[in-house]
Amino acid sequence: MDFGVLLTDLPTLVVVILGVPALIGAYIVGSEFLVRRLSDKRRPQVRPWFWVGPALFLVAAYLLLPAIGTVFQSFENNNGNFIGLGNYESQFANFPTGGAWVAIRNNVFFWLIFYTLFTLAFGLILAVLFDRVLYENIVKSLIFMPMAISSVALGVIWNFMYQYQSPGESQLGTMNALVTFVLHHDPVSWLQDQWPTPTFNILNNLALIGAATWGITGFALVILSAALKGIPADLLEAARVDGAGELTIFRRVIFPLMMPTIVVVGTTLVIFALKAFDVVYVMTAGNYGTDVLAYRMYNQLYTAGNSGGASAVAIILLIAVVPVLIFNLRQFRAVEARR
Amino acid sequence: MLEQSNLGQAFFNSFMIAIPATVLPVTIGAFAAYAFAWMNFPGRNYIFLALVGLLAVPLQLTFIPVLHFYVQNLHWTTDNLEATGIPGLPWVPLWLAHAGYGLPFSIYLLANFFRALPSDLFESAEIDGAGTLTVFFRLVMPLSVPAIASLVIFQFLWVWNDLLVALIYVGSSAEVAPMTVNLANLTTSLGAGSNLLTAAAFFSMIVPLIVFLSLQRYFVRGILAGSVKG
Repeated sequence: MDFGVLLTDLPTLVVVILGVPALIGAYIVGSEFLVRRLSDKRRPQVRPWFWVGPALFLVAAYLLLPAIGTVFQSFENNNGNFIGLGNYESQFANFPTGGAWVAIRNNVFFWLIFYTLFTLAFGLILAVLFDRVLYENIVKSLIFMPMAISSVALGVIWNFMYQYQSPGESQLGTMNALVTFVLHHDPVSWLQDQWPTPTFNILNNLALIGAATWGITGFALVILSAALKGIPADLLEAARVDGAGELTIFRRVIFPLMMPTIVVVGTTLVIFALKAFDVVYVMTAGNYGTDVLAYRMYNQLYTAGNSGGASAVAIILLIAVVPVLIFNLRQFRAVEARR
Repeated sequence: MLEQSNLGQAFFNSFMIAIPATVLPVTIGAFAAYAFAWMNFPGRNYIFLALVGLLAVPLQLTFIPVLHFYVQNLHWTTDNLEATGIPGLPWVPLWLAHAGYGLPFSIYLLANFFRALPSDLFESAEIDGAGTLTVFFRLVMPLSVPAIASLVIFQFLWVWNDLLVALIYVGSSAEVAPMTVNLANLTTSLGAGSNLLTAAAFFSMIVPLIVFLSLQRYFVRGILAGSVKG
């Protein structure tokens, strides 16, 4: 492998590692130098804008203005002419299999429900089961580890898990090895099989969601486990003294007390579910009825060269996220009010 | 075989993308967070609220106008930027994009942390005649190491593992594309080359796993800081 590039491209290395921080440092020292020359009264008025300036510029240039631009572009065709709701019409055409319907169904139905529920359920169960176990930290680290790797690598791993060889041959994929050896069933092509019907293909979507869930469960586990440790021990003690069984304690004491945390984790997961992209891109490329909105947008933009359509898909995604966004803002305000 | 797939170059590119794309949002975010936490300016609370709202906005919404602006107005295509011969320049569009996308989270996390620092600290520093820069670099920064460390790890892993943003802005050229793009291409183009694929996947995982295993404490703390990353 050619790792010589790490040394031969030294100028790039120097520019990147030293140049960027030097530039930022020069900016803040230079601006402070300028602010010092102002009168005492003007100084506190001007200084904050130098400190927030670069951040506000970048956020405006890369998030706020483009988002607004996309809204306008979704009403235009590729030549920049206004065509009203034309892009939306073609995205919403031919229910239930045409346009963006498959992607909408997968995102707003399969991913949103199953990804969120599976992750929360696994996270909660693991957090409760491994609480106060001797090797808790080792287990947590192991379950958390997939968080560190990229979804692309995750897709590669799970592609091997789901590998399919024709019946009778030895199965290389772990899932199919289990299916044939333990259940004595014919191997299943997990990613292609549109079981039960091509218009409502749960199986391959769940296969993708399962892979994504494996990658994110650690996130839910860590937060939920921290919330669980925050529950006062005397509360549980009191419940036990009153003769409540462990299941009742979980249902009546632990679960209600953890509800606020579950809601926070849940909303985060909903956003992740709506934005799913990498796993689909690597594992099925949106084929076999597994398209999602983010992938469809990418596809419309690059493969179909249809930037108006891509914008419309992005806006559909935004509309799906808006309830979560409003919810987040309300939560934030409530927390601020309590300060 | 590994040489053919440009793995060494992609590995190098990943570092060249991830390091500035981490440094930029963390430092610029720290400046802004300090202003949000300890300076007064008109509209401060509303701007902060807008940043919290932007945390949930899907990045997909921003790609087309930014890409359009890069190509049509600035002529920042990878080929053009490479033709200038200035080292590092082909990645500038990607660095700035990652900085813009990472900033709301970085400001949110750091401002919450800075705000929790005791105000006596700032008052006594002011009485002693310390300037803003001294307070920031000698007081705020050293006290905020845990928050900054977790943010750095987070942002670094996010950029290192990112596929979509890289694919959109530099996806087409192997000279600047990172590891994730390279790996994704391998999965689609080499149907039978699973030996190559696993090796490449291993290489893409090794850096984040080292970062994760050595700095796990900070990583978990960053997650617990309560986060919704756009």
